[in-house]
Amino acid sequence: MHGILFDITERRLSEERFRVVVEAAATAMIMVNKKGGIALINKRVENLFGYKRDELIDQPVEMLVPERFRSQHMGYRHDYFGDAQARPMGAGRDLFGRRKDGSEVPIEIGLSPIHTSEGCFVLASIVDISERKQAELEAARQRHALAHLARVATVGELSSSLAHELTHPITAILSNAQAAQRFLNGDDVDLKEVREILNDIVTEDQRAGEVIHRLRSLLKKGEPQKHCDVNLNEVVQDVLKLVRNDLINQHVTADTDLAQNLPSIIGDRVQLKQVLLNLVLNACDAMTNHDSSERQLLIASKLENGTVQLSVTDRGCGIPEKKRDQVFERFFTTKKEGMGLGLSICRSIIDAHEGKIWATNNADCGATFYFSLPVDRRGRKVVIAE
Amino acid sequence: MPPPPSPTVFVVDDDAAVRKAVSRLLRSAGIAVAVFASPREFLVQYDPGMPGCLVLDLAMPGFNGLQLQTTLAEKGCTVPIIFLSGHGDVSKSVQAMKNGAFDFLTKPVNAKNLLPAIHAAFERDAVSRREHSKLSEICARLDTLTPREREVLEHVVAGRLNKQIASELGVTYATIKMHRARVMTKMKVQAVADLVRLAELCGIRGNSQ
Repeated sequence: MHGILFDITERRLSEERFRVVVEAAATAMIMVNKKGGIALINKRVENLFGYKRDELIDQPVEMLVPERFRSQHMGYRHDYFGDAQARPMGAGRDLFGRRKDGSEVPIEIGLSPIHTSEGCFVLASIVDISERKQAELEAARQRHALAHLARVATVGELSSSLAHELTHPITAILSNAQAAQRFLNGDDVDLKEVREILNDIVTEDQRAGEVIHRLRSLLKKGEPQKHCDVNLNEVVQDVLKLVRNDLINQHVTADTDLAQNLPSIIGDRVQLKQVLLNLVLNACDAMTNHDSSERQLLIASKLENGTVQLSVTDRGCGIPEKKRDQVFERFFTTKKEGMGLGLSICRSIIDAHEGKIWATNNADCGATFYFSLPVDRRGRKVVIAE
Repeated sequence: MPPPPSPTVFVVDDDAAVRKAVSRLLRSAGIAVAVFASPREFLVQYDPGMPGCLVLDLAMPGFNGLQLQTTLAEKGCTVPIIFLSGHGDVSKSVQAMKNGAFDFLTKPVNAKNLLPAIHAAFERDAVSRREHSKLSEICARLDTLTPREREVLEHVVAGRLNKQIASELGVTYATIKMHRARVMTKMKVQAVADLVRLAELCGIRGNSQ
């Protein structure tokens, strides 16, 4: 402890000086004692939280914390006094303050310890970041809108092959139903056969439903689901189902080399599907001028340095070396009908997932596109155990 | 001659559910069915002596329906092909029709369209099989001719008179008359017009020298 002795008047004077400085500060400031009681605030706190000064003084600081964080906050506060240093509060977490009317405001807080003869206090300087959050939200909203638009365009490209995908179950349903009608018109009705037919009709109907579901999951606008557990191997399988007929029509054979026990990552399944779908369709496009026996595609997944890495390898024309850095830029395209949005959207999606996306040319022919995403930390223990 | 075996529909489709459903529909109409999961499987097992028709999916991975059509044509196999296509792929269907597809139906295919198409294809197959067996019988007759008789036949088909043929071949008129009579007997015809028709069926052109 820094024990400094003050003369009473001198102390008063110094306290008064401190009060004036706090009052004049450009941000909201709250001084809290070791027990969590509010010792001092400035005018900006009144403005930010909607309380009058005398409603706050000597009250627990937790009244400014949204209810769901309160008990946690008491623990943090206790820990802080154990090792008091000047630092920002809540590293990596989004912080919220609770106003008198119950509404919440996104904030940033800097903490500084103040040691006095009356003990240790903490001075919290609070910045209202509503506007910045709003701007971030707006940017995210625009990114999602663009991603959605690109998905709709991609689905448009796929629509004929998806329609084809639907014709299988619908054909089976119609033929089954008409067979049953004919069987029932006969003299000696084989009910066992009719029952089997009905079962098959139900199965095929579900199959048609799944195609529609896959389509809808790509088309739906909804909020991005950034916090879902996603297994990238499942994403690969989903995408292959989506493009199955497209591959057939373009005479492309697709192989997979998927790592077993791949840990999941945290992210938005639909958007990640979109990234892979784009890479796969690009790979097919890159091979259209090649002999159909050479139109091969390899999708591989592996665990690498704490990331899950997915790669799409084609045997197409490759990327001109000069343009390798440009392929992820917006409006860069080599296709006649391309808008040059696909890969730039892929990159913005992967960036938003804190991952990386890049491309290389293969030694023999064609190119490989990679993206890697950090392994879900909650899953990491499992990985080590394996 | 034993009666020909009853015609069979050969269903080639890579989708198991479609195969099963279509073969059920055909069975409900009393039609014999054999199913194949791929054109290759069909080629391995198909006996061209079996009458019937093909119901062939157009878009299959790898060796597809159009390729099967071409392969069968190369083998001289004339089994009628009814194509089933998923979506209206115009260029492929045009190609299929140009290559002599018997019919072209889109999926989902209605029994109202499929069953008549199959019966018509059976009919066409039966006709072409009858013609084919007739033709091979005529060819067999043709094979019994001696080289000299064959030579005479070619001159006859070209419309020459016995006298002309005799001088051309450097033999007597009587010899040519004898050869000609033998050719008529071996080919089982009475009139020269019939002889010419049969010869043309077998692709024999008149010797115009």
